[in-house]
Amino acid sequence: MLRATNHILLAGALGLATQAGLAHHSVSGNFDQDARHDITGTLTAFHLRNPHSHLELDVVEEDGSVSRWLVEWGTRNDLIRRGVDLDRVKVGDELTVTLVPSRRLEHVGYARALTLPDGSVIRDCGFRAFREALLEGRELECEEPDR
Amino acid sequence: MDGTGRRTGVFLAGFVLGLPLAWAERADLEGTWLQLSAGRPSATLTPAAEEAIADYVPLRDDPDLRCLPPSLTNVIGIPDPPWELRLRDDRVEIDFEYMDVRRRVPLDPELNVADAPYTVEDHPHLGRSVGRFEGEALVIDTVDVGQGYVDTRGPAEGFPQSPGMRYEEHYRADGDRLYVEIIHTDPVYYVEPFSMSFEFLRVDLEVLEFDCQIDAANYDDRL
Repeated sequence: MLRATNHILLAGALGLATQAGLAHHSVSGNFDQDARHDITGTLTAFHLRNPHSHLELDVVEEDGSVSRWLVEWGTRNDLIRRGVDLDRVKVGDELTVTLVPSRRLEHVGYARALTLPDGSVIRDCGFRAFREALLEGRELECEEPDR
Repeated sequence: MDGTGRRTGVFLAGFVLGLPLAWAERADLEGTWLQLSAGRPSATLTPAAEEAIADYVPLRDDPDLRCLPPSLTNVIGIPDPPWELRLRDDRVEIDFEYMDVRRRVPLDPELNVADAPYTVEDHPHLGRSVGRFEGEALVIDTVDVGQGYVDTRGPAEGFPQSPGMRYEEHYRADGDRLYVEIIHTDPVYYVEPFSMSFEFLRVDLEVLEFDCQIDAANYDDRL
């Protein structure tokens, strides 16, 4: 019985899909991973918390109206554990947020990168890069976020 | 201490103290774990399950928006946060970072699972559990769960569960790896039992306080 169970577990571990890009509710399910784009606006609130962090931005549309965007980000614990420089995210700053939009909701997205007023970019390397760094015993580095 | 050294130490301690080898192998279960991979479930759905999955809207229905862990499978299978397993003489303690779930599972062969305490005291909807060892593998049975979802992400996103769901978890350690298989039995929603499997890496990470906060900036006004 035990031996049979082991075979099942090994098959699951070796041959099947990973969930490295998935958070609490499914990021890939809720947000269109193929529709990445930028929004630029004033950061009106930054909620660093679990189970989801959120950025709120006022974005001026082409017709002059202002849209309030709600942008989800990683959990507080994940962002801290992965060394994201959160102290540089300031309410009142104008940010460009690279995001993937909600599949269902208008003006809702998931953050991939934040470009600050000085042009520097803040990214969450994501769980996959974090896990690989742990496996390889090296520092976490990322050029492109993976979640 | 790395996994090999730790295992050797435990083995030698078991040898010197005259403990059975199985106990040394069981001790390998102890540690802090981070997910490496997750298997894709192969479940045959009943019509009721198909209807429930079609009705599931994540940004409306996911219990974690209300700071509720959806299910044991969801808590075990969430990829990011680590969790710690400790063996005691009469129980297993599993502390998940996610939602601060603190699980206490009695190891009592005389205890009927229906009479067991809630597996997480402050989350009765996660059910009642009792554990046992089969060789070096830890097996935990759970019943009396709440109506809800097996999972809220990945390939089992929106899979429902009825109060009649029965969980059977199998934990087996191999050095710095931990293999967990969860068998789900719920005739209301699944034609036959189905399993989900996970592989974990032993890590040197702190299990942080989660302190879940119901989203002030929730999605209700946008749905």
